[in-house]
Amino acid sequence: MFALEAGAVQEILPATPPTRIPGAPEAVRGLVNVRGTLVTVIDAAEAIGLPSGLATGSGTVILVERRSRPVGLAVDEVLDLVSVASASLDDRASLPGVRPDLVRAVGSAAGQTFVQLETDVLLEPLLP
Amino acid sequence: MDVRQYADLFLTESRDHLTAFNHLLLEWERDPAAPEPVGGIFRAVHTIKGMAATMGYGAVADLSHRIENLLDVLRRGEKPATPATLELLFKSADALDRAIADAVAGKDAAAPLQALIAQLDREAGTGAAPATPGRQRPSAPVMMPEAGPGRGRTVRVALRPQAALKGARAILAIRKAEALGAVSAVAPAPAAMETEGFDGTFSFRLDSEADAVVVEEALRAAGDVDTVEVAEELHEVVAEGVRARHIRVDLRRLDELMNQIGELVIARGRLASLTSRLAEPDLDEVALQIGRLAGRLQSEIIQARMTPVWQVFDRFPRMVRDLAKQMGKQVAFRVEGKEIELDRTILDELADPLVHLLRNAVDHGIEPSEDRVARGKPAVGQLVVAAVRERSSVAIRVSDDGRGVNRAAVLARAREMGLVAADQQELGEQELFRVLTRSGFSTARAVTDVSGRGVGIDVVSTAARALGGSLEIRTEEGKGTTFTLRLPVTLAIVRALLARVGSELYALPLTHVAETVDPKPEEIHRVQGRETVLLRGRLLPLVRLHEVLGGSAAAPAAQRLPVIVLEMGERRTGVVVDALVGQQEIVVKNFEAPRGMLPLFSGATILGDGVPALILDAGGLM
Repeated sequence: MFALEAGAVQEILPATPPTRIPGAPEAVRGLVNVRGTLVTVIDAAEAIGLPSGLATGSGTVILVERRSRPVGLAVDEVLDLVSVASASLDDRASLPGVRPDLVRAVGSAAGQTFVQLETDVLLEPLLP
Repeated sequence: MDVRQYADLFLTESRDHLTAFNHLLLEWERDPAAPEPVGGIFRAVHTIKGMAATMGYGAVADLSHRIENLLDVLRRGEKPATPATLELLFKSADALDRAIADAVAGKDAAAPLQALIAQLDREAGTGAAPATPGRQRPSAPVMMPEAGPGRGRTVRVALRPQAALKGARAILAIRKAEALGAVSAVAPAPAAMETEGFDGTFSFRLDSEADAVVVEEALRAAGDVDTVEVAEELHEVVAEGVRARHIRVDLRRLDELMNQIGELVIARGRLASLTSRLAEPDLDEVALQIGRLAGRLQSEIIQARMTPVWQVFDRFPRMVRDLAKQMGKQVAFRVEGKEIELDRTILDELADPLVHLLRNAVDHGIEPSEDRVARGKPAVGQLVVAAVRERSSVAIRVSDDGRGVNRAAVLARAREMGLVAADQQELGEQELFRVLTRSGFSTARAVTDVSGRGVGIDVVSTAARALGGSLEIRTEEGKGTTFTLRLPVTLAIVRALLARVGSELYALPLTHVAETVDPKPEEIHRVQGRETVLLRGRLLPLVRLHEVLGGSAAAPAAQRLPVIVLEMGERRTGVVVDALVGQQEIVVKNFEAPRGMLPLFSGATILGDGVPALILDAGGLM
């Protein structure tokens, strides 16, 4: 389970079949049209290094802003919006199975542990 | 008056007059005895002076005034126009340009101009008292009479309403006027006077010394003339209805309009694909009409963005002259195809690369006169910038008759840099191009052994590619070099071929598409390890798009192979696709290109069904 800072999220959309971008890394799903704007969609699981069980075109796309342009993160499911006291977030705690530089913080909600992602580090190898 | 509101307008308008100033100076320099340039320069400077005074830019007005004084002396022939005088005027034009920029930026200062003003005064022989900034002197004439023989006047004639055969009368009256001087700009056209609808009123321009009374008398002699009006024509006044009416529009507004039209074009595409699915006649009709309207709107806005290349080319003559002088070269510079139009954005992006190429030509291409003469060439080097309209693109050529690229030196440098094999003995046409446009390949030293500066042809090539165009180089040692930039006419909306590769669709702009052919599989042969097909006696190398792009499984072998023939100057390549889907207008959009993306795409577009498609870059495929 992963989390993003809600302030960085622009929009949550159902996934549509993307247009493949030849030569791009595996984790790049392709281009989708969001009301006239072309958005590059990244498979979040692939980018994190987890097995992606997702068929392209299914799941949900989270639009995040990066250098004032939208980028899409394809995920299996968006679960909830939670408010977490920043004090209850453990700074950069490592978690087995996840690259430590991708972790901004670790917290828990409803009894489950989640990882707040460092999106810049996540996207850096994929987008210039 | 809110000055800020007018400052931009003042800036653009005075730039126009400065351009005229520079052009006329160049003309004058070529022929110091010609009477016309000085009059034109006087008018340009006078207009700037008037506008500057109104705006309260004292320093600009004062400098203009001093220039005017000198021009006045020259115009009267009291002093000859010596090369030194012309040089002073060139300097004045530059100073005026700077002063205008400073004034608009809020730094209207007289101090930096004092030395030049003193020089102007000395040259004019008027030890004038220092000027009071901010006040316009009434000394200069407000308008100058038209240069050349006679005065230009607009004559309006109305025939009596009851007159019979009005057309014949009108033509007779014009004949009478022609006896007095040259007649031009006849409105309506004589052919229209012969028609039923002619109401007996017409106008023309008359260049004649004759008095207005004499003109009227002569015209009345034609008979049935009701009224004659002879209007003294000042140089700026053009017969009514002849001049197109213009307003200045902020470019950002046009950009935004273009974006919106782009969205409209995409929406139109979606509407069209929806209606064809629904098969509803009423809906079809509305969709068709909306489609037509959107199309018309689109071509109007594209037209509104079109700008003749002279708007950028016009500063080149002066620049080339200064460069040539500075380097002690003799260069005859010519501009051709000034009226060819390009999208404003393309033209703006083009200015720097062209300056680059011109500098190169003067600096490295054209030899000093003595070298040229020693080689049996004319002492004066030729440098030409020419714009030519081609199919769906515009070609801009920069050619010189200088020394050309020294292949041996380029080869040596390329070997040094490891760009070619160490034992390579010759550079083919394609290789030469590849090496020259290679980023960071500093050819200056290699090519001319004169200056150590990098030529940076790669910069020009990159700029052309970024605009969806291409660069081409033809060079012959000892004879000269021609650079050709081939560019799309518009940027945002282009006509493209849609091709299917596997299950994917790609768009290929028509800019570089020469034709499409469909050879049979057995017509394809391997030549030097490359698939080629013989097309009208020439071998066409093929690129199989499916192999280049990877992706889904290939289509089963077809009876015929659809091939798109790309052409860039002499180079041709055939692109093999699975199917040609059609031709349509596409809106070019940017996207966040991921790392590792094949360098074959210049952007992406949204097709009628809302799905994105990548746009192939012809330059990358060749």
